[in-house]
Amino acid sequence: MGKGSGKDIQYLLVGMFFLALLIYNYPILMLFGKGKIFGSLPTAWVFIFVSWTLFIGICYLLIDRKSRTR
Amino acid sequence: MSLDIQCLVIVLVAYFVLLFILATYAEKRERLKKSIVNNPIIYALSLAVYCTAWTYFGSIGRASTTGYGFLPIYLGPTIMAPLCYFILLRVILISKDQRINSIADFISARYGKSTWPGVIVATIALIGIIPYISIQLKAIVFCLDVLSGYGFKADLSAPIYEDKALYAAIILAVFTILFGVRHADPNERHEGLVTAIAFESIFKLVAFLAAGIFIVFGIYNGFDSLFEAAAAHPEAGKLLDLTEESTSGQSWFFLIILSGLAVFLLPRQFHVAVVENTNPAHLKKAMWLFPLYLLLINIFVLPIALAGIMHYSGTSVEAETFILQLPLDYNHPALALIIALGGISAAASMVMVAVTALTIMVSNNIFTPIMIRTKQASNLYISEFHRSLIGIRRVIVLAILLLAFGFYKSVSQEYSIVSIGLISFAAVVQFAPALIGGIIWKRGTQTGAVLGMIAGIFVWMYTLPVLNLIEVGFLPIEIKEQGLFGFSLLKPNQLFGLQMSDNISHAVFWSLLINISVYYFGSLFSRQTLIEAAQADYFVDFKKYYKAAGEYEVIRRSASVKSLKFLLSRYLGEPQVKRIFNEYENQNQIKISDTETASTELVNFAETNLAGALGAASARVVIKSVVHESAISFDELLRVLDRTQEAIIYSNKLEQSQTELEDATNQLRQANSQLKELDTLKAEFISTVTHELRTPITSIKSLANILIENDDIDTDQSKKFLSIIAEESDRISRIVSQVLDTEKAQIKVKNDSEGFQPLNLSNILKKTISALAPIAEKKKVKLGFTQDVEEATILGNFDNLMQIFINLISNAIKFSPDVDGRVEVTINDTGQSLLISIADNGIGIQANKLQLIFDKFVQVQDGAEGKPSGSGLGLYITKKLVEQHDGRIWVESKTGEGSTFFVVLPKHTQNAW
Repeated sequence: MGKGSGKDIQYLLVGMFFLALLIYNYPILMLFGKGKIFGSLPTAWVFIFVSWTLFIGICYLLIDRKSRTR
Repeated sequence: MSLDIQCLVIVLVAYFVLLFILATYAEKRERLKKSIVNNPIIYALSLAVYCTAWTYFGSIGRASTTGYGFLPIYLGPTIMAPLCYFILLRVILISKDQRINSIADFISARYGKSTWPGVIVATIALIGIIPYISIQLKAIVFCLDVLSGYGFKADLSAPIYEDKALYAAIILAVFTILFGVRHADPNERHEGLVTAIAFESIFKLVAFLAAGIFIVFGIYNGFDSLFEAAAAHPEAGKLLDLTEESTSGQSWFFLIILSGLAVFLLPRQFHVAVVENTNPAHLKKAMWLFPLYLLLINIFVLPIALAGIMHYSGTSVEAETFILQLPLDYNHPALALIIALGGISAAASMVMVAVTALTIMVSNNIFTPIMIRTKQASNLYISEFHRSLIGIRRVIVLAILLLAFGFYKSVSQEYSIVSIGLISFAAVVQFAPALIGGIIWKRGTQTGAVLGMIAGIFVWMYTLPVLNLIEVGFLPIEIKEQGLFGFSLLKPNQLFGLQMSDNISHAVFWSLLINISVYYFGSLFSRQTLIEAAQADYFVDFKKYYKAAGEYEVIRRSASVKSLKFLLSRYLGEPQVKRIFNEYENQNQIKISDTETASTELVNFAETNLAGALGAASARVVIKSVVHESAISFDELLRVLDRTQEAIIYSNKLEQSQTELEDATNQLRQANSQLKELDTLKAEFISTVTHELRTPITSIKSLANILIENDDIDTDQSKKFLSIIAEESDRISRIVSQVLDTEKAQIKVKNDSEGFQPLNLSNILKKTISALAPIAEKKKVKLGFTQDVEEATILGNFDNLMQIFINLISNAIKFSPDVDGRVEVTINDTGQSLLISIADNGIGIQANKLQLIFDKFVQVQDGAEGKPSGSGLGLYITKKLVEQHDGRIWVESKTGEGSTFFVVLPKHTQNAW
């Protein structure tokens, strides 16, 4: 990631909020609503928890790590 | 399989003793200034008080009917986390600075430190949260019941003293009093309580994960086999996919909004996130650790629900108890006990924090204002208020828990944990417009906020609790079927005819829409008081105050230090007051004596400290009783503004005069160079004129001398000499009169059009030409005149016009060549004016002189002799005379081919008006 200023990170975080709001709502969520993956795991269950983990990782990078290195 | 009831009681007591020891230890460390709570991980864990019995049991219940329908409640806070970071950071900094210690206090402080917003918020919180507390009691009871093998059957007929919920309520009340309401701390921080709930957060997570691991890996062979089995089951199989039928998109969306807001608006969440925060920097870790906690505690919810359905579908076992029933039935009572303890932990931590937060609100925002107002009338200083404040708070704790117990006895039995929890969420989101609006919009007023919240909570009440009361038969069913008073637009589940996927979405939509609208328009149509405007500015533009405290004070206050100390000790106790004053002295490096008058800063400092114990509104009322408040009166404010205004005007003036000065300098410079030029011209002119004069004077003198000295000159000779003398004298007089004409011309132009009369221009030209004909003839120049006009009348002065054309035509003749010279005079009609041109075929004028020849003293070289002839004033005078007649003159020329002078004069039309 580039050298973001405090304002840039603010915009990124607001963007993250809207992105998450979009993917965790219908109709996007319905794209992953049905079927099985990795054997017999439900796609919806896997999608939600994997993307949730990713989202937390990004929050960590943007809020915690980024601001500490500044 | 069940557990022995005595064993259960012993374990429970041991667990609470452990909590007590932990909390006491934390408080001891706090006193030693070695806080264990000052730690981002503890802070994040304390936020997990969000996960209550609802998460523990309710989610599994909801998952068993809706599949993924439990998730929005945890996705909401996760999605909000990036925004929450900014909102909470600002709220925390403001709250620390103003000693705000509840959401009611925050909103009351924002809207002018007045009582009403606080009362409304505290009331809404009480109405909304008491049912929520009651379902925690319900969860504790069913944990005990399931463990002791009764199954969960509410025994309403049993006498009240046999009710486990009552004992649970009392134990929780004692615990809350011990850690939440031990003393009135101006900061309202309770490290013991925070330590206890952080521990409980770890415990409930570990217990829940243990349950999940046991069920998924103990009963089944991992996720794969569990999901495979579920897919084959007729009921469980339906829950694996996310479909519109299991959870509608609308409901999903509104649950995310609801939980995303509730996660910081719930009084207990506000309490742990803001009031108990020890360092705003901890937010950075909490904003990803807390969502991580939510993720971990939710991984096993769906698998446990599926396993439960596969085991108990068709039996009387309730879905909410699957997590306890499964280990018990697989003969793991110890695991079941730990899980139950985790569930009780979740419930107990919620109850303790929620009750503490509500107690602070109710005592600061409802009781204290009442007490201060009533006691103030009879006795200004209430003795020992400090002690009575603690007493009041303890009573409030007990009252809240007993109310929750009452609610549990009367209503909670009928509903699932989740449905009551959601109703509570919908109540507290009514704070959202006032709180979020309050920190981003200065214009938001108290009237708007209060009316918005009242409108919102009424819509909430009608669309949720009233609807539920109708459904259980407490209220007539007609209201739901036909609408209130028979108005079909007022059906509580289809307000204004709007049908939505579920009651919660419907209620959240309408209550928030109406709340926001009333807040917005109410604010636009009402005014802020001075203090409200000051607070609004502070909350919205917080950064500028944070850096420059005191610079933006708009209210001047003073009081005697003695009375201030006296007042404070009534409410906070002597030692606290000493500490506060010491702190102030240290901060400002000053010593304060009792006889002094306290400054505005000291009064404000005292008020913020008092606000910690009494709430912003009450602290203000109390301080007002001893403080002389001269609201930096509008006069003073205006004076400040005036001074600014004056400064601005002054600087504008300076700027203006500077430009004027520059202009003047430029003009002067120009004039100066003109003068210099003129000076040179004048010098040249004088030398020319004197030269011109000397020539005839010399010849006159020498001829006169000859006549005097020689007597023998014959008559013919002397006549010739005398005629030369006369000629030369004429020449001198001509030169002199031309010089005089120059001055006259300038005066004439000023007097402009006086004495003008209508004249026929072609007649004037004809006269001029005939007057000049002899000269032309003498020089053998052909003089031609053509006219292309019918009517050539102009307004003017006859003599002056004659002079114009004599000058121009005689010039033309003068510059014509000796051989084959021609001068052509023409008049043309151009409509509004007449164009006269005088063309010669002489030597022409150099291009660089064209502009100059009309200037004073400028002479054109006589091509033949290379010396000037004439005074250099002819054309200048001509130009002035033309301008006097509102005309224009210019020349076009080519060297060697001749020049043409053009004069334009306006026509005189007799019928112009």
